[in-house]
Amino acid sequence: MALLGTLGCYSSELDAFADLAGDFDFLSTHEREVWLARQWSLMAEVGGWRAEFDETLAKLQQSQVGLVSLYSSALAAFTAFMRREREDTSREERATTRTQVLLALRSANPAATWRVETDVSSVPSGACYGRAKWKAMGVGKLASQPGNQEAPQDQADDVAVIPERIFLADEGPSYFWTPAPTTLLLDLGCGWNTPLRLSLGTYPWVYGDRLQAPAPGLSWRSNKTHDPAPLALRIAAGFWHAEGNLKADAREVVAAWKHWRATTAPLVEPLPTWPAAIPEAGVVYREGERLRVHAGDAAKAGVNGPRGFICAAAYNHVQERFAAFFALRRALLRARKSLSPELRKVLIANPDPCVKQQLGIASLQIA
Amino acid sequence: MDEQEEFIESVERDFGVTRREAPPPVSSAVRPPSASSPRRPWLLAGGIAAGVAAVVGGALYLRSRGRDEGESEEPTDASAKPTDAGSDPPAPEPPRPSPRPAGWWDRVPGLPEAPAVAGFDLKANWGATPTELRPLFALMERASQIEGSARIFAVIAKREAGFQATAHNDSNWEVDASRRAYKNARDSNPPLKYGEAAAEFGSGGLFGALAPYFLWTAVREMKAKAPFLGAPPEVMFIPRVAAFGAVAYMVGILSYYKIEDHADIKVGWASPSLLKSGRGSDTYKEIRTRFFADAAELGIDLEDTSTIPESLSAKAWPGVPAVFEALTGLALEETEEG
Repeated sequence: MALLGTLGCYSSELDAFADLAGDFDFLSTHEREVWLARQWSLMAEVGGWRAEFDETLAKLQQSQVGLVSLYSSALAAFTAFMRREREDTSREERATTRTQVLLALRSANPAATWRVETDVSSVPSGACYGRAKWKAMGVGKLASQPGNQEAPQDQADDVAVIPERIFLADEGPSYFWTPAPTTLLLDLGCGWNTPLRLSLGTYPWVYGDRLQAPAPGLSWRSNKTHDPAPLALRIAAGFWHAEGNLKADAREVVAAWKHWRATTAPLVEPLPTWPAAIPEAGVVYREGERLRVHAGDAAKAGVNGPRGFICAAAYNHVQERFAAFFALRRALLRARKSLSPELRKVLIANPDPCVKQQLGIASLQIA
Repeated sequence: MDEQEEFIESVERDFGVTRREAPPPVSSAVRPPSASSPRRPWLLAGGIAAGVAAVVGGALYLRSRGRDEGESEEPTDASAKPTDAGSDPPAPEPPRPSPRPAGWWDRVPGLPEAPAVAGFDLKANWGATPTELRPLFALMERASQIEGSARIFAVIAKREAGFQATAHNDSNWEVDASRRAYKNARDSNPPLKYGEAAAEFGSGGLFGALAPYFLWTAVREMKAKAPFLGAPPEVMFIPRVAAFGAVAYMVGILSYYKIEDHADIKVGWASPSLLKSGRGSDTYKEIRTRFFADAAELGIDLEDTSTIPESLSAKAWPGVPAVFEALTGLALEETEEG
């Protein structure tokens, strides 16, 4: 019987899969920072802000403080990038509500933000925007408007804004979910007929049935005071930074990963493998755990299945995010004895039986 | 405000640098040996070289002022709080840099060897710390009387300079930082003979000091007699000189900030303000993560209380003249007029 790796408690395939993101020694600052910079580079690439990130990285590499502020500096670069194109004035409230909902989701269960499913009535504004401006207009008032000096003001007050959802509905079954029958309450105020489902660990591809380019999360524009997209990225990036990774319950991520693998494997396995003897332009190849579009656009080419189309860029991104989570978890578990006290505290508090097994405070029977 | 600016500002804010008259013109710049700078480890590893001596002068000057006001020359009280800058007495005439004889710094001995720290354990819990540097770190601990600091200095030197005494960061970013440091602090500190050179220097030495701040080391206590006011920034490349700046800086960190564990010292090394408003920030956490990782990678067990107490204390700090002499072999008073 082959020995299971550090991640073998979750799946015998997981250690090999995590290598997609690269194995590294967490206690080597150089290796750790190179790895982290690569994660951010990949994220910036798919988000279209690679130039901004590269500029930020170059500055950090020159500075005395080096990459210690990579997390905050990269987020700042992305925030600036997103603020170049602000939310329309008429939709400013949408950015505010999106931000509020993301904050609520994070605070409700910080250990389980990779893939969240929640009753929309439990989040701010019912995951709708525009509701606050809803105001029925009386017939008498309408009739009195002509000739009324105050009519323009009254009209402004009485504009009826139809509530709209702040996120799309991932109704499923999709590549991220197979929704079980739910007893969650639905709020039909702005058209929700499913729970709110977001895959924040794979941001900016957050919906399992919309894996085309551009990624949906990149359209979450900022207003003057709220930045939903950078907040979502902060949550996602937490999974490939030490504290956020250790806080996460890996069982949730493993479940999401297994679903993703099960639903995409039938689409990917039949693909020709790279390198090909005679590569054909525009053809999608399977190259290890990634897809490769030869002489084509990874944003347009991909695989198609009963749950929808997945462009190669989205597929690779989702694969990378899962792999990064597990690669970092593995590195942290290996380095557990030399982590900072605060990280060790987080690790010990993690309820995951596999973590407890690694810490030697529980034993598991591997089926 | 970027991190470097925040750091510079925090130095002035936290240590209450006093306002003085504009300094007299400084001499022409002496170019640092940047072209032949052998190592820039932080460019490879993203290191934190943190303007080591940035607050050294500030910390020690507070003690000096206490004595000026009639207090005894007791060692620094680690529980002392920074004095409000607003209560400072009127600034005296701007002091002039102490002239040093030619070749003065050449008189600093080379690295100390084991006999210089007889009785100090140079084998246990040093990990991969270069053996030739262990006596220097031990001497730093012994001279400063900060028990347990030797191995902490080793971890810091690994991060800041990769144990290279002549490490020099003269990147554009770093030179911008040293220019800002000089510009922002020159009006509130004694003039530097090589101020312009320091401004153009960047940072360097075994503990990664930002040049202008390093040269202002100990001005709070020694004022115009501070040891580096007439020195070129290249003195930072002399290990014993860099060591003096580092121990003086650690005294400031231990005395004026809340230090919860050894990693907090490293945070203060990067930016003192992180120990106040920045505590718990992503950068604060990352610096701590780095510190523990560096210690583990180096092979130093931070929990070995037989070599590193749970907390370090500067209460027994003997004062600048004694420590300077112990580390550099030079007596401050004999150098005043060259």
